[in-house]
Amino acid sequence: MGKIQRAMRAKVIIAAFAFAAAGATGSLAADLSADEILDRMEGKTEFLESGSATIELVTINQRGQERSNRLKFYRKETANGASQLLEYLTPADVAGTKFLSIDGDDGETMMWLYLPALGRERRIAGSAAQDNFMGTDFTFEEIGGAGTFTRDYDAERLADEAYEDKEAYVLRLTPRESDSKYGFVKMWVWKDHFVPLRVEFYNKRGTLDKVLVNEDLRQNAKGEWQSHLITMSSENSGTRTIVRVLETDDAEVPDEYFTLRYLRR
Amino acid sequence: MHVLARLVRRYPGWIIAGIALITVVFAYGALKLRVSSDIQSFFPEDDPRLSVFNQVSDTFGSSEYVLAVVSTDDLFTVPVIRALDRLTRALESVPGVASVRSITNVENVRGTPWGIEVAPIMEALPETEEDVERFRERVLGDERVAERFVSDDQRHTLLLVQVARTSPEQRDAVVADIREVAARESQGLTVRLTGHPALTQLLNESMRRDILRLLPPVLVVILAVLYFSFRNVEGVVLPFAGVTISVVWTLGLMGYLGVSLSQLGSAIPVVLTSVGSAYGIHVLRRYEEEWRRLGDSGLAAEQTVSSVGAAVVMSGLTTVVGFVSNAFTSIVRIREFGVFMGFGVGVALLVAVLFIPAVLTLTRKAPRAPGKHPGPGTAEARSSVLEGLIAFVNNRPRAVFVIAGALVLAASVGLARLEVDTDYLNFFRAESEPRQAYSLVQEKFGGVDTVQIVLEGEVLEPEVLRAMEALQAELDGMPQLTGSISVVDLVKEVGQALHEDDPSFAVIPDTRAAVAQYLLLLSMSGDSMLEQFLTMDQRMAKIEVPVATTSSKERKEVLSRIETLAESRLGPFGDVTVTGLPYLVDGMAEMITGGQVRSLALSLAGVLVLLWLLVGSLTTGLLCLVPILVTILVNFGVMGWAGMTFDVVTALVASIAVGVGIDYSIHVYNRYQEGVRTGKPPREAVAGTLSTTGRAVLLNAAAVAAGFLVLLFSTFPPLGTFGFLIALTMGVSSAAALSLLPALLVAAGRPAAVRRKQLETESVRG
Repeated sequence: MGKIQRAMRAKVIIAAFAFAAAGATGSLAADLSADEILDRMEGKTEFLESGSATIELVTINQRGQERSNRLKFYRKETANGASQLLEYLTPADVAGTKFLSIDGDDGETMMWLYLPALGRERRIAGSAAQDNFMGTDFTFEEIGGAGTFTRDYDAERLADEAYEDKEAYVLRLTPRESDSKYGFVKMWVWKDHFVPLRVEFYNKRGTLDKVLVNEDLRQNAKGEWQSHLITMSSENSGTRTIVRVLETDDAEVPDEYFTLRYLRR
Repeated sequence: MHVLARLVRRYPGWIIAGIALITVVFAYGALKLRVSSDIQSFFPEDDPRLSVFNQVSDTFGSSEYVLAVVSTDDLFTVPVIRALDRLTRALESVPGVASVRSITNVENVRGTPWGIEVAPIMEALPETEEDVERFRERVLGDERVAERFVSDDQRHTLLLVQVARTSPEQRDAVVADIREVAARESQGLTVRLTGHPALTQLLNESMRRDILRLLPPVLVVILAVLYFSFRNVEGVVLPFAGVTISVVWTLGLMGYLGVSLSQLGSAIPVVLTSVGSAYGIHVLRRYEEEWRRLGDSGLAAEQTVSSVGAAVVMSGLTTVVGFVSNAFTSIVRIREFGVFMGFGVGVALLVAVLFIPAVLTLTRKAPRAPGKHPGPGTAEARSSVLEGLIAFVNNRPRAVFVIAGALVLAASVGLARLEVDTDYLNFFRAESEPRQAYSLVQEKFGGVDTVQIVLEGEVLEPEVLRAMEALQAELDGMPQLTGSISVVDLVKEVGQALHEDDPSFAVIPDTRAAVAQYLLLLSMSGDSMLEQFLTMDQRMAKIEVPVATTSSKERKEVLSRIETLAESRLGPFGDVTVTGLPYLVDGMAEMITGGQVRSLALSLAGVLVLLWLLVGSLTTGLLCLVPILVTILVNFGVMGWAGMTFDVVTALVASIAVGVGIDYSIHVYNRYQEGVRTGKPPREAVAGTLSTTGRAVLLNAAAVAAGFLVLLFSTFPPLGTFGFLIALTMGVSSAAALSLLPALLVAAGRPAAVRRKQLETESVRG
């Protein structure tokens, strides 16, 4: 999968995180197993339907310089997977730059880039050697895997802890596949609403590689809990990526948004 | 002096205990001593050249690269490419390595008939000859990649290993890991490492080994000299203990102050051992004399300290002044060398005057039969060499002056040919691996060290980018510069890719928005190269150009040309900063020429003032300086004639020549003066001086020279040269002190004597 494709997918999932809500409040079962906790959590990340969101994406390099882009993101579930459109809103130089990706029926994802200055779209393809993209700290695995924790990881429940004044389950996840770049993942899950508060990714040598922190947890219009400030930090490189969710809208996105004609508009 | 003398006699135990205790404390500090030969550490922290260099590194990321040069018969074969891929991956996983770029992982943006593709040039590991052939075409098809990574004959390729900015010690550890991984994963390929971090690490490592390797032979030489001059155990043990104590104190102080041992500092133990042993020798010799005379160990010690003490302290203090005057140079490492050598000599002096007599007071019990063993150097033991010298100086003083004059003349001509070169590369032998790899990179890839040109302004504006493009074209047109890279190249690459790979679109677009969008595409593809050439706020852009110069003169010219061009092309668009390792190397040359001349003058002036105070006559002080001046001139002359370069290490020779050479002058002058005072005619005073002190001076010069000649076995060519030059200056300054100085003293004394005679005659008449 190409970097840009991955970037798109990741964005999808970042946005999915943004959509992610904790529906099932209430039943505070005393003795949930690790897998049951993951199941309840994943109930929310399955919210990958249609909708749009406005986010601010801040990339900070190890020297403390940052780049900030405001983006509008549209997504629609399809029979083959999903269609997504990403539009840059700021800064002014790049406003109107769009990415379109459509999952085809052959399992391939087609991608197009539209640059306003060029006045036309170009198809994009590529194969990536690295996992990270766009100079962000997210990789496909750590976010893409969010929906399939129970399938990809062996989960083990550790002693509960209070995390930033919130009661949390603590899970230790060990990847089933040996080709994962991680040795294990440690996760703090908010007991009240089954939202992951903090995720630590450890490499195969057992040292901390990356940390994902979900903050600014608020209920959306549907009463679901979601994080509006997601920070991923790489311990090794000293870089950080911050996603601020400014606005979400789960209203259906019209099909015409996901066409080449719309790109050029 | 008399107070000290009484102290030594009354409280020898306390003195020994006190010095032993302090030595233990300093020994603990010496354990903290670290080794570092970083070029940055030669500059004062607030030096503008250094702070600009660090600023640019902070803004665009470390420009510290280890360059791994991989050589083989033909790069483009299946096993070689697979081995390169493994090596690249292995290096990437070394902790502390920020990035690795090689032909097996470098990416490019390509245009295709249907769109664009962002991908590594090597999409999959080649399995067949056809795969490799396709890969070769893609690599050579990308001019930027081919130029930087593959030699024209396709036998050498580069791996650029970027080391994250960290402390010098940690960086050394990272480089050591890189070296180990490169050796383990080379799989039949020849892998050679070069680049500043690799050179520095190797230098540090061999320096540590050098100290351990060189110190024992120096000690053996010193011990042998001690044994042959005293022929007893005390004579060997005491002066030796004296220098050991001074070395421990000095290194301990450096350890406590957090001063690391540089390539210059590593010479301190050797220099101190050679120079410092002289004081112990003088004290011990005098003690033997007094002890034989008085037969009481305490009295002998008191007498020794009060008589010879003054002379030893005088010669020691002038040496201290000679070294410490380096404190005023701007090169930090030379400053440290001077100050700590001054401290060490001071300690050696203290130990010689207090510790050695104190030990003798306690250990020496029964007096030996007087006169049984005439110590060498005490009696007027004349050898044929000294006889010849005495005859020559006394009978043919003119010849002495003529020879000295001729030497000065020849040396002055040589001085004009002297070249300054501070390239850290000279610390390695020509046939060493890093040196060879360095030349290989210069020859095949356009240079190891880079110059960075930074522009702060509206760098996304097409007209600014075009100015950068024009500047790059001019730079690349210079024979010493090839393969400059900047954000301009990246923008053009995207432009071409967006237009079906049509080279005619490899141009800077017409609008700022287009530039920004091209760059957005690059940043989305995760191209980490972009950040090295453009800050994230898009306010600063950098041009990086590898420099391949072979001489300091050429480097200076090239650098100033780059500066002029950069300012004239980019100046109208914002602030222009030019920096890079070559600038630091050049800056050091500047500091050396200016700084060393100044500190040499200062050191001579300091010594002169001290002499004036001690001797009470400015003329005499000047006379005592003459042998040193001749020595320094001969030193530089020989360097010029032999084509040795004036660098940070050889710059020390002159200051050591002042410090050590002045001792010879003082000893000779003192003995001569003593003779004149006791009513000897000048010629006899000269004969007496040369046969006693002369012998001691020759012996000492031989010992110091022999100690320094050991440095010829150093791993670093400059240290070898340094050892040779010190040996030379010891020879010249002792010879000058024994021939030129007495001749001068006699000549200067004559008019006075003649005048006195005339007065006497007149008074008789009157």
